[in-house]
Amino acid sequence: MTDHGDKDLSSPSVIPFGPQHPVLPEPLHFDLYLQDEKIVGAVPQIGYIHRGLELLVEKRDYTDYVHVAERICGICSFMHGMGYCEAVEGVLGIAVPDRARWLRTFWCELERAHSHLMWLGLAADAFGFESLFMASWRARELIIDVAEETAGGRVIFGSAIVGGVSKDPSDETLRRCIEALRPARDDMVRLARVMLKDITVRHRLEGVGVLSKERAYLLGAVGPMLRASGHDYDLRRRGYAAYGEIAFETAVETAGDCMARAAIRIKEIEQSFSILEKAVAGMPAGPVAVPIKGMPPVGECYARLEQPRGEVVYYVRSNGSRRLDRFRVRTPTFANIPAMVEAMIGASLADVGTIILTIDPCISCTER
Amino acid sequence: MAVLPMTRILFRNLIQGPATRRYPFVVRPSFPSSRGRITIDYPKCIHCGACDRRCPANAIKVSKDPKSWKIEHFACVTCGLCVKVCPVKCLDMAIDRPKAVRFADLAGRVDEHVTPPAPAAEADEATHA
Repeated sequence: MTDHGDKDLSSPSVIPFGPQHPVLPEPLHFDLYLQDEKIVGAVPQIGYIHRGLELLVEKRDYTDYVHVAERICGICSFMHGMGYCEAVEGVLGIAVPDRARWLRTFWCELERAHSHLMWLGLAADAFGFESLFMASWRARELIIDVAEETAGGRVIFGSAIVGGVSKDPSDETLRRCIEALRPARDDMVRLARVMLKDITVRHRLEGVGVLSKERAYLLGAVGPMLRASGHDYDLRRRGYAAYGEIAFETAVETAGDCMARAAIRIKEIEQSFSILEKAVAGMPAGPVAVPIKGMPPVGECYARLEQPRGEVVYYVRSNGSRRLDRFRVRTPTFANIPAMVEAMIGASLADVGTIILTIDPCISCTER
Repeated sequence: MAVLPMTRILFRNLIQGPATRRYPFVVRPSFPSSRGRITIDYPKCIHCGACDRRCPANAIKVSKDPKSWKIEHFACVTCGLCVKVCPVKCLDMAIDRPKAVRFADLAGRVDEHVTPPAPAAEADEATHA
């Protein structure tokens, strides 16, 4: 397609990409500027699914809003609810009981594992590997079942509340869940071999969408996007919830290409399974929530978490009434969009889908 | 580099059979802690409207005059807040979910309870569903 308004054949042609496109799980639009097959520029545009969830904080009781916060996104739902709770708990100045912290860690890692497995399927689908897509979603189903057994919901866990967690699965249930996850873990070993070693996959991912270490830092990339470019940065090491008491290693790659980002996520799935085991083994006994009474004091608080897609920031401001003044979320996809545009420059048109998928975009979070 | 590492998984899939269920005929049982359908012990309800006010999805409608309580199951997000705030504990959460129904089939989507007016009143057509 050429730009008919311009007679100069050397000027770039513009190709619209999205918001409806087979590789895109969510609506995201790009104006791609192409010189022959090479991309010389990309202008992203979002704004198709804004729902105004942040404003609802002014209309709901501050303890009830967590149910709305969870629905910001269907994949990192628990972490959105928990991030809101952590910020509100910061305003209230309360500490969460130990068992609640460990259960939050358990559910966070469950969510990370199922999010990355979902990503693995979607990425495989984006480069045309349908059987890998189905195999990874089958493994994900086991994780979702465990989520339902422990938290009550398959996708929206609904177990985070201000002051702790609302569900208290018994230690025996948790141990049974770890056993139930074993087939998913075995599947993951096989799927990782396909994703990282298969010759056709490597042809599509290696050397595609390279983001250098310096540019990743300057453009403010977060999460697997930043770690794939060689930065050892993982917010879980800040020690929120029970991460300070569970030993784990941050997965870091240096290549900065699509393959490195895939490798990071595959390592993180394996790491999530091992953190789940450690969380269940070290789960302390005791209460799971502290009672919350009265109005929150005037104040504000930031909370930061490591979501499957990267660092997320929550800001809460209270005016002393039951309705909070402001709730703000800075989502990881929003932070990764400039880096994604940078990674696209120089790639060919056929690789755009793969590059978009390897940042694992979550547009619902970004627009809220 | 490996060539065709997926084939082994594909052969396993052939032996194992489908991973999906034939949904309307085979339903996976819910777990004891699953969040599902909201049920009401209607005679205990005092029509205070606490569930109506707190429902994040506006799925519950409570009226004092005439006395009625109504939930739209497909609007309900099963957060369980109504069960928590109910002062007389007449609400409960069942572990099963409403089954898929035709869009036009309202019977499966709405659960409505209406108290008939006192015997002195003339209007007698209100029913207790």
